[in-house]
Amino acid sequence: MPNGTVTVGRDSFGNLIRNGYIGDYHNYFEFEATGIVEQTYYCIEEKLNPLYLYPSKYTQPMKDIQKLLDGVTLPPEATTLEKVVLLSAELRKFLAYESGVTSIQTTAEEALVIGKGVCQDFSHILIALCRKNGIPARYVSGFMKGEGFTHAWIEYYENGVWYGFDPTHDRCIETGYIKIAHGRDYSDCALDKGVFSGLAQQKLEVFLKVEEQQQ
Amino acid sequence: MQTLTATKINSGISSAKANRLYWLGRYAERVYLTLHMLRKHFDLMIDEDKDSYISFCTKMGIENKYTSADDFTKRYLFDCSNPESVINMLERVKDNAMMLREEIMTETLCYIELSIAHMNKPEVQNKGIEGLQRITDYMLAFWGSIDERIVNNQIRHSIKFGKYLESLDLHIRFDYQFNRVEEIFARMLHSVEQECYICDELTLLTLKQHMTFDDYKNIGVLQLINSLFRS
Amino acid sequence: MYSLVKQKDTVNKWMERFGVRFGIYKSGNFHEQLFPFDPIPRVISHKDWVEIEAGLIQRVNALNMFLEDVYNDKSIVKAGIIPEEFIYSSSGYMAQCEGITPSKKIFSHISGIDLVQAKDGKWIVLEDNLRIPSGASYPMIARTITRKVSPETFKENAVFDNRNYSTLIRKAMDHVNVDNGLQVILTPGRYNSAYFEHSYLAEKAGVILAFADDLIVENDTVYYKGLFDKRERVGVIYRRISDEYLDPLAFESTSLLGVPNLMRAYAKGNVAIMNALGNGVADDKGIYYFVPKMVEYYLGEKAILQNAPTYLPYFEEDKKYVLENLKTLVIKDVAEAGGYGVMFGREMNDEQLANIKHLIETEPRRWIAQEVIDFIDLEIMEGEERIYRKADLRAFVISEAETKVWHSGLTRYTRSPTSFIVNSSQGGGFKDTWIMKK
Repeated sequence: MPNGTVTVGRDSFGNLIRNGYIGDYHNYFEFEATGIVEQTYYCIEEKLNPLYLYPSKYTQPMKDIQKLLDGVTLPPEATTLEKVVLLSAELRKFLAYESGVTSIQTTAEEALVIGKGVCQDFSHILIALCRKNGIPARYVSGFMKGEGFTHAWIEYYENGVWYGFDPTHDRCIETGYIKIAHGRDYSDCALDKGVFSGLAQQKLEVFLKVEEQQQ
Repeated sequence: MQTLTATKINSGISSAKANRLYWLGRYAERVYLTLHMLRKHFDLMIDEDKDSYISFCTKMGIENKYTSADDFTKRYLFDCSNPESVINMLERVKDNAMMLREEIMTETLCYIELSIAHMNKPEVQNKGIEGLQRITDYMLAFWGSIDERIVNNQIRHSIKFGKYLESLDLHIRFDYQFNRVEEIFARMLHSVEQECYICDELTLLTLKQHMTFDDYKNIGVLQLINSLFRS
Repeated sequence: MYSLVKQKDTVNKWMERFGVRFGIYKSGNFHEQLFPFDPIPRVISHKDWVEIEAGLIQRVNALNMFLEDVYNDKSIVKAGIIPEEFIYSSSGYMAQCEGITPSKKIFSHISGIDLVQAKDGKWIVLEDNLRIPSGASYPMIARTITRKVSPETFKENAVFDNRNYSTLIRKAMDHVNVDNGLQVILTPGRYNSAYFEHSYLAEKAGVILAFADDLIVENDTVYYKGLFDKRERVGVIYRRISDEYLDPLAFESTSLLGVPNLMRAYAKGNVAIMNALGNGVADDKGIYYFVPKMVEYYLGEKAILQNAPTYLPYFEEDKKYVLENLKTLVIKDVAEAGGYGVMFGREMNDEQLANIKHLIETEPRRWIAQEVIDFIDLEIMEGEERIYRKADLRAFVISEAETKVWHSGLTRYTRSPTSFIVNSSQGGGFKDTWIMKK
């Protein structure tokens, strides 16, 4: 395989983007990213971008999300975390975990209609529910220890800080999650994206390994 | 009147564009020469060989799927659903010309538009080949406009290369004498020498060796001609 | 003008000769058809024009300032003039454009402002088009032809020439060109409805017509791929491809029309793209309501050109008015374009009215409502007969070192006597637009 060049930049959400390109004819394109992550308590201090208050492409609240919302009453004195927990609990009544039913193109509303989905769908719906209740929320892609796949969860915003919450496992995140990118929804934080020109079949293989470093 | 003198400070030719220039030349010349050859065969059909259209098909390298001379006239000339028809050759010219408007200019493209509009008129279709003298006139005007308007040599030679290559191909197919074929070959070489990028040098070298009185009618020569363009 | 009208058929023959067409898709198949041309021009008096011109320049200047503001400080939101929701939930807002300042700070280089003239003579803005306004080539070529066919008409009437449109475009391209690179018009290809215009403007402006495959981005710089792998630096792209298809890596990843990584080159300031990405946030039907307020906010002037009276159900007071007066209003879906998603209250039955009421109550942000304007009908020739039809005017405003209005415009008319929607994708025709010198 001919060698390509790699450039580094940031997208408008602040995510680090590495960009590679091969101009000569080639049969495959391969890249490897490695790193050592030092885990700290999951909280990110940041100024709020109001963007995360409003519906995005995958999180448009249509009929079914509205119906779900109508069924929950959030106590006005509840903290933001309590509200998120309540919304997540409610969401689980309508969505069961099952892989292979939805795809990366499935919107929050569509997943809710199907009633089944994966981490991406849990996150999209919870984001839609939070935003509808005035809680800023964003989508996160990343990894968890001991999993063979990428994972997705959400961050909600309170008093100048983003906190993590994992709707798939219905728990708030303190540590143990490795965040790669965030954005309004999945479309802003796909872990890899690419195009090629030419008549060819394509097959994508991803191998992921997260392990604790030996001291 | 305030118009911009369309002087191009740059000469962007991408490989896709080079491809279009070449095919524009080929198809435009194919229209012109096909009409020329057809007239000869239609003349023969008057009183010498009423099935001369069959030998036309053979020389052209197309299957004779036509039931009669009348059927041939109708479908080979005017039928849009027949991929080898003259009207379809014009459509191919137009496909390429439309994508090259800024190089060949609207005034040049006009002759193709006019040709297609003319061929689609019912009164023209009723007249058969006689009604197509106008197309020949338009094609000559088209080539005149190419010479007159295209200042960029690279662009003009690329089109001309396609033109002479097509001409060479058809003259050999229709059994022209070697001296005629040789003349056309020389003109093609002239445009290639100006713009050598456009053709495969090795193939050209082989072709030069075979472009002789004894050899030029060999089927291999036609194949060489048609693989000369480096797309 | 009489001799010109008599020459209608000759004019149409010339149109055919020049290949003046636009493409449409009918049941999935691509067709090209001639854009019907009516020989009676729309005539705008010099006096009217002076006011329209000043109004358009003012409006487009404010819109350009708004675009710069909205992707940077958002002072107009902070000042409480536009609610932030109208920005962030606009389908035209592009988060990817945050913080990007295009070459020479121009966002909308070519703006198409749609106007109508009300019966009282006042000109009213119906819509701003700041993304890829098209149609200027038609009156330009119509003038080329009518001057040939009926020279005496133009001897008798002092009309501003309009064949300089391509020169205006070229100057706008040269003005923002980065590092004196190549100038290209990027077209999605010949099966685009406006392909004629793309190729015609490239010819007349003397720039390269490029297809997506002709361009490549390397090291965040855009190049034209010449022969022998020769790379020519591109400095400005007048793109005729909409934002979401422009870069498959930044936006719609299935797009074959776009150039991978173009967005990165643009964000780094290595290429000018006209019009800028993200302009949709300013020509959104919801934002339209706020344009006169922008003029006041950014320029400290009263808007010269008025909007049609518009109500935003987002505001309680407006919602109440809209729901009470639905039958006399026209309701528009802010997400739709091209004459779609437009409903006239007076044409709806009770069930439809109840339905739209419900939608307005549940999704107030999605709708705007406007008073129906009684606008002046224009004469058109139907065979030998003169009849009257609804018509609008798209004026073209070019922003470069200064803001200029092209001395003409695209006048479109409806062919059906009952239709109020003038749009070429819905089967209308066009007229030349004459701006009188005196």
